[in-house]
Amino acid sequence: MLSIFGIFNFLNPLYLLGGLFSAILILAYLRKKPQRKLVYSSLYLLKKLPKQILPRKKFSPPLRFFLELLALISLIIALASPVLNLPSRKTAIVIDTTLSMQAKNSNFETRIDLAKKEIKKWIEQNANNDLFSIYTTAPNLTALTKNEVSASEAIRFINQVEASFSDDKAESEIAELIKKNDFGKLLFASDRQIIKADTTIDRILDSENNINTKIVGLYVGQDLGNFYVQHLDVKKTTIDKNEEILEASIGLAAKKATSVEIIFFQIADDNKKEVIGKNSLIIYPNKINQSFIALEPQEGSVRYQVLVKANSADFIDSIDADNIAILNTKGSSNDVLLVSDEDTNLGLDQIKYFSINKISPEKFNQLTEEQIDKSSLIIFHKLAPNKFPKKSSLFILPPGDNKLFSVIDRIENVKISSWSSEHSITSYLKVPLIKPTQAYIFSVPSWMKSIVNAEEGSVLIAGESRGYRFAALGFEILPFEGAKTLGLSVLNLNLLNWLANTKELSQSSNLYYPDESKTDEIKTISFNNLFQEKNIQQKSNQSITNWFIYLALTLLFIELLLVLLEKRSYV
Amino acid sequence: MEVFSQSFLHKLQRLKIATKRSFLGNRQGAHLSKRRGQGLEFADYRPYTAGDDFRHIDWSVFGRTDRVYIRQFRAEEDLNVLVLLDTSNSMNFPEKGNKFEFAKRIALSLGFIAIANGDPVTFSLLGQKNTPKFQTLGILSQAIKQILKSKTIKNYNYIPAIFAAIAGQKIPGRCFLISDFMYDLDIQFKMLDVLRAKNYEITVIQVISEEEKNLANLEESYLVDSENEDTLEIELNNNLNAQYEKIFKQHNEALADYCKEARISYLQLNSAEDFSEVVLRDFVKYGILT
Repeated sequence: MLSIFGIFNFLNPLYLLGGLFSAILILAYLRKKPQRKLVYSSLYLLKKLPKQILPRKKFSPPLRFFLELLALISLIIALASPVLNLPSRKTAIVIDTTLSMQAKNSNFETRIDLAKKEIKKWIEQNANNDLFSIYTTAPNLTALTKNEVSASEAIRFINQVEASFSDDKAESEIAELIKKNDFGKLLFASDRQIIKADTTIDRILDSENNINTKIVGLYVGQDLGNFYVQHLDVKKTTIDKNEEILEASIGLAAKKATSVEIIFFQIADDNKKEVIGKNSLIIYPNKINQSFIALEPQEGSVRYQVLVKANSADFIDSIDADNIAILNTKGSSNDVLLVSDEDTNLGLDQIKYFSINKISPEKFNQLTEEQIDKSSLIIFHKLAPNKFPKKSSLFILPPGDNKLFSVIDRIENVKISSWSSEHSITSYLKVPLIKPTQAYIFSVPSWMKSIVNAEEGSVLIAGESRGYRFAALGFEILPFEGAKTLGLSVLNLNLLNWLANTKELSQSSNLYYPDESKTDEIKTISFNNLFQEKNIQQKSNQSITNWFIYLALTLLFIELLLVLLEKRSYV
Repeated sequence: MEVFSQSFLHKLQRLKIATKRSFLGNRQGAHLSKRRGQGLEFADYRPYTAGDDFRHIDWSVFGRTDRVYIRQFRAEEDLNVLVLLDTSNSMNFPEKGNKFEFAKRIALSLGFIAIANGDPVTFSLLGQKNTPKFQTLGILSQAIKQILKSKTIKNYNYIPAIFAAIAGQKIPGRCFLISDFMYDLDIQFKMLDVLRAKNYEITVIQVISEEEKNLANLEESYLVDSENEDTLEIELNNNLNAQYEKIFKQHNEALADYCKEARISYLQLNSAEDFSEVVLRDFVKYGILT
């Protein structure tokens, strides 16, 4: 490709050698007589004229010559396939779909809804016939569009975007995205500010001289307050150990205390909820706020639920999903839904207290929430749905391209390097004895913990969200073979127990603030300053071949008109 | 003679080729000859000798001189007419008002007049061929067809052509040289000298066209010489025109001056004009015909 002044590129520069034909045209006109010749009787007398009277032989071509020359040059340029270096028409829109994007603002809009709304406005104002690619960030940078789409199509895709419960690696992945594509612009909508010095994108892009993309940052982070259920547990009272209480611990991320109402439910087998207690409580930030009710003695498996609501209209809870928690007390049996393509129950039916119901992935997709709710937990074997189900779930070897967990790597000859010994999943387990031949390495979302690590990274992660527990296992532990594979079997049982028995809710991490101590740093961002742009030069190519073809045809048409006019004047 | 109308021919029959000199003829004709003969014009006295016709004795001279003299008269003989036609390519110009076509008709008109007066005429297409001597109209019509069909040729040598034209002529007479004279003056003068040396009474008829007189009449400015295909591009403007007119005038005046000095009649004709008008008006006006 030949570049001229950085403005024009020629994809087939060899055709420019056709410019030599213009020399032939010039020679033809040099030889060509400017007018028709007249056979004169004798030039004997005319040759006696003084030389200065006779015109010198000069090249004074008619207008037609210039038209033909320009037409020839235009055709040659058209053959050389010229392209203009214009700002690229390709625009990437990357939307942060991490869990924090579900936080609400004072207008009851979630960050992601606000982001979608502002993005759509931005597209309408800045479309300029651009073509769009839409990406979401969590758990991995994923393209929603297979090919570039128009503005209206882009808006349709954006409407479908939802926040997930995962974390992401937006900074590094966006940088890679920019490097591999020639986007003219990239709009990143997030509650994180990335357009500032020393961010990963800046560091990577500034070191590259030949990749330049205009980055527009849409910051939707804003002040938020949030209360959430930290624990729900059944405890024996200290006074009378025969009496039990249902105790809920409530956390608050806000600048000041607020009053909440705590409602306790008992859930019957038919999923009907019965209010068994209500409390009002003033909760304080950075403190453990507890509320409890006395429980009637119950036999068998009982499910309790707690719901926290704001008492004061002044306080807007940013996220609703963390305001409930469910507690399953240990009963006689737990119904386990095994979603697998395998023909067998993978040995799980050997486990006491777990009743296995194996279904195919297609059938699982057809289940209603009520049907799913009847199970204690779900095991997904070598597959994963697009979003977290509303049920505690174990994901064994989720596919590398699953939408829930970010799979970083796949390793062989796994060597377990560390584990979380205080977690109940590793109880009674000699973890180093587990030597899987191969495993997936996960990226640990902020709301989960790494339970077992190989040298390369985490192979077992677990966490809680919305009252449900989730675990992802990067290596195979099925089929369950009991004493034959003792380590794996113990791990299997621990996982099932932990998932099924929410009585042992651990201290949940703050889902929305990685570090609670930084809540004072929450700032209100005006909506007017949402967009920040980083102006970086960028280039793309727009073919202008047709311009030159049309120019050549126009010039030839004008010449034809001139010829017809000349002939008409002679007649 | 389809090319000439009947009325024109009638008018031509009333004309006669004028001569300033007397020439020997072949037969009895209408022109006074140098010979003594049976004409009406008194030539000289001669002493009577036995056998002379009594009717020619001039009795008044006898009364005065007591000597018997007879009157001698000039013979009236025919006039040898030679029409030389330049057939060079330069004559084939322009398309409209073509000089060669004009010249052919002038030549034929002269020929017809000559024959109508009993004078033999020979046509010579210079550089090409000489026709035989024509003395009757009947045979002339064949030559006319031949002459009308003739074309111009490129580059012939004028001097040898003149010599060839007069080679078969035993008796000089009246000679009409019809050409455009758009060539070297020296050659023209030499041609005329050859004819003068043969004692012809010469009339130079120069045929030119409007486009040769005035360059402004030219439609194109890229010119090709019809004789040698030389080319010349001119820039038509007033300056050029003025300069050319000057050169053209000088050239023709040189020829006219020579003719004047050599006692050759000179006539310049415009090929754009009607040849019949030229013959009936200008030829009579300038004494070529009577």
